[in-house]
Amino acid sequence: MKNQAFGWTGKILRIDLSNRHIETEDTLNYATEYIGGRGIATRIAWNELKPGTGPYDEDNPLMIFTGPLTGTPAPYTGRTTLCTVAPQAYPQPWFTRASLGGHWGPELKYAGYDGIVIRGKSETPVYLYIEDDQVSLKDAAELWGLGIYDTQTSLFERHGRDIRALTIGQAGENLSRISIISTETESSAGQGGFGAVMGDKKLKAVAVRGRGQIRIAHPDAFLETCLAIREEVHAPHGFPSEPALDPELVAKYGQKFQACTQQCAKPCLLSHYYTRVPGTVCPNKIYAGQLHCVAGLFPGIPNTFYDWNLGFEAGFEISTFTNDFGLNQWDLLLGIFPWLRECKKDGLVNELDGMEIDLDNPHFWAEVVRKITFREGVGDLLAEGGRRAPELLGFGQEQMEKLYTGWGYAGHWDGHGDRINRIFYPYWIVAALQWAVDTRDPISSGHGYVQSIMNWSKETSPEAGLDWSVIKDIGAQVYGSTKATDAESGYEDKEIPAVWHGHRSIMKDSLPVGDQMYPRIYSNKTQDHRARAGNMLGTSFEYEMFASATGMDIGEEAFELMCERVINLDRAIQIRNYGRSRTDDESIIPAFEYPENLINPLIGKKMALDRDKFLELLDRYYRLRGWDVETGVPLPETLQRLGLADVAEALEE
Amino acid sequence: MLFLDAERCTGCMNCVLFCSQRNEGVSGPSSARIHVDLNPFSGKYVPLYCLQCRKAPCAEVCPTGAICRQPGEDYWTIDYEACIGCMVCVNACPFGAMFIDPVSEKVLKCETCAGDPLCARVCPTQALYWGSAADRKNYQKTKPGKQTA
Repeated sequence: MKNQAFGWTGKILRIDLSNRHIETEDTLNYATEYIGGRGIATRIAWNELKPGTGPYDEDNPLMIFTGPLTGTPAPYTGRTTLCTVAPQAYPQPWFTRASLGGHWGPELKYAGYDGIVIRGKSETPVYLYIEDDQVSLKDAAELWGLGIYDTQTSLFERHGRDIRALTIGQAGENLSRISIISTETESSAGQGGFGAVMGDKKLKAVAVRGRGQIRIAHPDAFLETCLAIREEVHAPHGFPSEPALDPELVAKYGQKFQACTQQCAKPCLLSHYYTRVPGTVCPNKIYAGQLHCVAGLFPGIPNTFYDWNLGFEAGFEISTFTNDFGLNQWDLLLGIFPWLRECKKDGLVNELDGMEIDLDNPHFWAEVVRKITFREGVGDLLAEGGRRAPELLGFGQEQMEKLYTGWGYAGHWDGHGDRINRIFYPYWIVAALQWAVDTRDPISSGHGYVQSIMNWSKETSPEAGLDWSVIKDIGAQVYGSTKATDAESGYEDKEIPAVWHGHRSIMKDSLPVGDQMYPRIYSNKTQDHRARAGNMLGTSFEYEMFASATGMDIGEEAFELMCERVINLDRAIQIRNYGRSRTDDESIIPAFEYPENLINPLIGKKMALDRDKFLELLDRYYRLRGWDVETGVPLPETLQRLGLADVAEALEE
Repeated sequence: MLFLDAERCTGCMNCVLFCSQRNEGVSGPSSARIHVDLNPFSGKYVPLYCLQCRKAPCAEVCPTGAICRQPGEDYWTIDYEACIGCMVCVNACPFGAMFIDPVSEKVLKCETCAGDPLCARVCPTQALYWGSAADRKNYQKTKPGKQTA
């Protein structure tokens, strides 16, 4: 096999669980056109995922891909992207993505592989064990039925603590549509129900030990680039506030900073580790683990929509249960539990299987979570996810619709379903566009516009934030339009940042780079408020790391074209396999027609999506993308320009 | 000296990967001169690296005198011209801080990047800290809890 790969290791593992066949393929068959991660997985799906393939068909490939930067010192790049047909997707399971952090992806690369494509099904439970070039399927009878924590501990006992493992819990074994694939205590491919795909394949875990290295094309330039970027992201910026430990929580629960992902260059506000938290439901237990991002809602937050009161200890305990069972915390915290409360408030239901619905009672949470995992009683229906539950249970459709923005996923930075993210008009219009054209909640790799603007505004960061006029000016520089980030611009030119950040989303899921930290646009430390490291503009960081690691000095325009290629190929899969059309894209509109939750001070009143203006915006988005305005299908010339003539031909058929 | 406060370690691996990239030109823990023992289920992350012992067992057992210290310096370096790869030093180190790169079969130890260790520079929480013995007192005063990143 030719192996001149830099950044990439050069090999993809292909596993067929049905006949236990294991082989490798050259990464460079795809990488120079599709980057890595989601990009490569999308090309493989176009080539191999036949229309009509469901999540539990033998031919549904579970693809687990790192990228050219995974495992290198490049800041915030330790991630892994998973792609498969997602059971959670609505109205039908379809091909989409999810990503996770921890240390698993880097370990896979040290073992010599950029990714794994897993097809077929095993008849009995197995796990995949990779130790450098030794790859084998091993019996997992003793692991089946264990939670995510015990599975990993058991694998440590067998193979040593230096292995890293991706695992599913009991929720994945029981084919819950809201089951996760996870590593360590809470790094998960959370959305999509991918745990069930692994469970259906009877694949309990993928354990890896790697002792090799990743070669870098331009080692000196790469090191210098990484150091400069690391400096920029690490310097204090004060917004919304600098991360800190709470002395009381340190003393009581052993709070500490924790890298949720390898190459975290600075602890963030979202993630803490606790080494000892006593249980409430199980009072004799002491728990350890990470409380990260959405899990912070478990205790409840007063004066918000999530105002239940479990308290820290019980909240941490319930979070640990869901991590161990392997359940999607987003669907529980932003979907199922608030939905149950709203249904009760509206007099539709008082109890579930004889338990009073009481979100202040940790025993209620624990029991619901357990029933979902083991599909007991009402849990059998809730295991289908919050989007499908109302139809199955026969109540609460209207309440659910206010929480679920699209494609089976609960709200996120949309100003509506998700009531924790501080965002107002006109910025959620871009989120609406992102949601409309995607296959899942787009924000997991799409915070770059909505969150960046809101966090950098004085509205969220009174001390360290930037004036609206500065944000407007920077928008003009980055997107080429003064309307792109203008707080008073309404629907004008919002298609431009939606397209721009669509490409950044591909970079994040393919290089990969961390969504919370990239792209680097704003700064309060430079004269012109543009993020910068030495001579590099913040918006060039992704390309500069890619180019020096892989040696593909192709220029930023060509690099962005690779991202555009992946977006169009993903769209082509939607069209060929699922008949995706403009009508589908428009189906997210009602979710944005509720008045927003926060008021733009420059406008002074609550706004909701204006259907007609949004339809015109969608026209402009399709035109900018080179897609047919009537149908939302990429035009043949667009696909040809992107080197996808074969795709154009297939779509015409 | 390179100080460590393991309680602050976040398991980010910056020290490890920047070390291997700077010193060996490739990315991978097995070519780094600092290793981190990761234990995600207890939250304990323990970096392991050469402590530059004054009386160094590795240097004492080396049959070719390849591990040496320059006059006036307080860190030990490996003379790869003299090293015969016998790995006796690896067994002699009481801290497990002499490593073998399984790919190149080179013995690796921290040489403090010649007095400016990159690992300390890139450590996000100053779990690793480079300074003099006098600095150490101040360092110990900044306990986690008052710590910001």
